[in-house]
Amino acid sequence: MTNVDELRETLEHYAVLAPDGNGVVERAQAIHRRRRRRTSIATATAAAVLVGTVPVIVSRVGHPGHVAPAVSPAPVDGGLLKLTLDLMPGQSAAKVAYGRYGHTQYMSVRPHGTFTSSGEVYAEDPGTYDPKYFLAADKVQVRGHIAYYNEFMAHDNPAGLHYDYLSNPPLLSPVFHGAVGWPDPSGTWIIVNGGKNLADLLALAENVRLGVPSRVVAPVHLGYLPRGAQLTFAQTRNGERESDLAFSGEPLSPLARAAGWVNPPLLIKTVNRTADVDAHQKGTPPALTIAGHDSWWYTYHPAGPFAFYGKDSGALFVNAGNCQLQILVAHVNKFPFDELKRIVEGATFTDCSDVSTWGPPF
Amino acid sequence: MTFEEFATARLPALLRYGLLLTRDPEQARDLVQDVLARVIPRWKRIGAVDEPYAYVRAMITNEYLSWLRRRKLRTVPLNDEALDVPAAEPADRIERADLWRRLAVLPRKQRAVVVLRYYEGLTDGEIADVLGCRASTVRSHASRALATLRVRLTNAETQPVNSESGVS
Repeated sequence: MTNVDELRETLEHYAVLAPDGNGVVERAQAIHRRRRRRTSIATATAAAVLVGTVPVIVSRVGHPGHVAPAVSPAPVDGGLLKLTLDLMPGQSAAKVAYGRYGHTQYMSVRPHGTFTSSGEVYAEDPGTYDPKYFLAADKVQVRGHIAYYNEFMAHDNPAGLHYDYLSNPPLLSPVFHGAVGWPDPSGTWIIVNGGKNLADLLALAENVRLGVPSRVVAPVHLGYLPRGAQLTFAQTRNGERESDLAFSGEPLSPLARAAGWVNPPLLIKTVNRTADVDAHQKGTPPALTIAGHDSWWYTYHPAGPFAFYGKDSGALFVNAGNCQLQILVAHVNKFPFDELKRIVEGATFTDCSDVSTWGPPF
Repeated sequence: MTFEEFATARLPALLRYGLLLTRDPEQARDLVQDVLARVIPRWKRIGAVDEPYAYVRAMITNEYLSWLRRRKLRTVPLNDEALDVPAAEPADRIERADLWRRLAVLPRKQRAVVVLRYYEGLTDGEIADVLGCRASTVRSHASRALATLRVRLTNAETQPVNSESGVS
């Protein structure tokens, strides 16, 4: 038993472990600038779509007997699940998240055991990446091969931040934003961002390879997907025992998704149930049972937890063993509840707490 | 005050607060960074309130409590060995490390209440404003958290911290 003074001392004692502020404000400013650009594009697009949509809405209202088309399982582009980016053998435990969006594979690595590097690594499919900012940069060596070092690259959008920093230099303290990139013989460009300085960055780059093909895994296998659900983003987060599958949207980077720039039309997320996860449903009896699983169906409410997902959004949460399946849709008219229910009915789960039991989601 | 002036002055405090919530330096940095990105476009309004720090701290708290917040990484667990500070007496250090570990098992809302009450020094009424709940709910969270932490209250601590706003 301890007392409140000791609790205060403990909090003060550990607060000194707070990270330094280097780069935090600059990064926030970069996120803001990109979000603003994206919002202007989205607004213009929405206006254009609205102009074209009004006649359709009027037409639908005039035909109450409209019947939704029959649905069938959608083909999935399995290529999005394939990965070749990896760390050197024996270091896989340092890979805390990995996945693919569009033409980009990525992984996040953090110190583990004897592995001391921290950073983000990206592999751009052959022919999809313009390396001009690297080719004009300084040459360095990575495992005996020529690589290029650019001091103003961001891991999520190298060219984007390069422009940002040219036009809007950082306002506060200097920060390390360097990146190393090199072409693999296959034509894939590998980009490494991390560390506190060039030496740290190169140490991380030395441990990166394009290895034996692997793929994104998840604790759920989906036997059914609605028509029109095209996979655009897939990631496994070992560290947090979570997996994300996003469909039919723009293939955004993990950072963009985390910043909430655009919510995919359909997001299927699987998380390991913990006290934190269960606390959200605590006191709220399951509204329904799907395939024997306690389930909750949420529709939009301005003060609700999904308000950020938009006025037409919906969310279906399903507790299955030690997994919680979270299905979010931006427009319930596009992916209605019955379709989400069929996704759950066709799903099988492994052990969410044990990544070694996870397999391909399709 | 400009946003840059605010950030220069208060960023360390915000990061310390974020660290105590998340217990992870990387997540603390991500959390504060994401919130500041939302503060920037609203700075004209936020900078004009009486206490911009309190406003931003509330945003950080709510972002931390957002149950769909999906931060990417779980990184190096913090322990006493990671501290670059004068070592405490072994017995104190063990006690402190044990308390720190117990903080990790608290549900997020309880942890936020503990940090706001015992690190930031807010009254229960002020915490209730941050969390958007009643002061009685704050006391309930605090009571459960302290039981889990096995922290004994003194007589003074058992009195409502802010009874005038403790209407339930």
